[in-house]
Amino acid sequence: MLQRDSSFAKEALRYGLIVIVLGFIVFPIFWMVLTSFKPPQDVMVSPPRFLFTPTLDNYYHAIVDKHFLFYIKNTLVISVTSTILVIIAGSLAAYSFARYNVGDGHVLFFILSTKMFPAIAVILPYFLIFRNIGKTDVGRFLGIGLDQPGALIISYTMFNLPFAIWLLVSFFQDIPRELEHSARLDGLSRLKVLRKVVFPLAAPGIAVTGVFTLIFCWNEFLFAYILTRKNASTVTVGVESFFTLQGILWGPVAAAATISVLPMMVFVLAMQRYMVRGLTFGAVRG
Amino acid sequence: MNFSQAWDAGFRAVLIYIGVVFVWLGLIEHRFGDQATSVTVMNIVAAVAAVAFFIRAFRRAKAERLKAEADVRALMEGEI
Repeated sequence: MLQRDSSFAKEALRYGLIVIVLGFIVFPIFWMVLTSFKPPQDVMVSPPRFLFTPTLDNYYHAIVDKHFLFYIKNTLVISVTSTILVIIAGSLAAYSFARYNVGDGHVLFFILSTKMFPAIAVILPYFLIFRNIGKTDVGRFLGIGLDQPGALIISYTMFNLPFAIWLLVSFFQDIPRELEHSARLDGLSRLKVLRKVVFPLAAPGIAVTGVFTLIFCWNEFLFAYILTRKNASTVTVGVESFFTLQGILWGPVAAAATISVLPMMVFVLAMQRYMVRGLTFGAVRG
Repeated sequence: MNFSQAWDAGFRAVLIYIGVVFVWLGLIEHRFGDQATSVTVMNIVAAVAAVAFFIRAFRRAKAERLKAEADVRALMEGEI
């Protein structure tokens, strides 16, 4: 009986701690959503109000007055394109690292080293490169100058590729080589083996890498802030636009932040099953 | 229903609550003469929808667990 009580207390303590940690994570989101429905006079009062008359005025201001859906569209185009490029280049690179051991591990480590410095360290070279490329005919044609989507697509691809390669290498390493050998003996070319055997088996890993890359692209602020002005600005820069000289419009900021969070939240909830499967895919090695 | 299932269902229930608030404020509130009544009814509807979702998730999780236990029992009996 005493042992059962002790076990119950341990479980209660464990779940209590989990709830506290999750509360810390979820509370800012809860507060953001709550603020987005508050009228201006209830936003910054002390003590904070949990009971108020909700309104959609903040959303109206963000969507109609500030054209926030334009930022959503930009972010969607840039993030999805960048994620597709990362997945294509990353999966091919990761496969070559996993199967052919390209560079004896040195190249793989060198790729990771690009993640070791902060983004701010390379923002000036990126700015100068895209400014100069944007002045050329090719740059104008491809849209890779300053304040153009191409600049952000390339930047995000460059910055997310090392992470994607490192994540995918472990997934490819877990696929038995014998399956590929069998497919080769059946007469499939190397590329067909890749397309018909390896990629379908690594699909959970590719899915989870895609989800993470998309989240990173969607939430990125620094590159978007420095490399864009108006035409190619993303949601994070759009939220920042509510920080005016007259003051910070907290209600519309919360509404804009809620709008920018919702697509990712729905997407991640829809992909949740694949993400869990992908994250546990490489967990057990025989 | 284990903790992670309860958390997941609770989170989705909160999203449903927020969704009802959005739809209500955007499409239904202007039909009400009195805003206070509208807010009260909205909160009741949103809470009922969220709780109903949570109960449904709870029942589904319980049914899945019972089915899994029955499957395992049948397998064990088959082996014996």
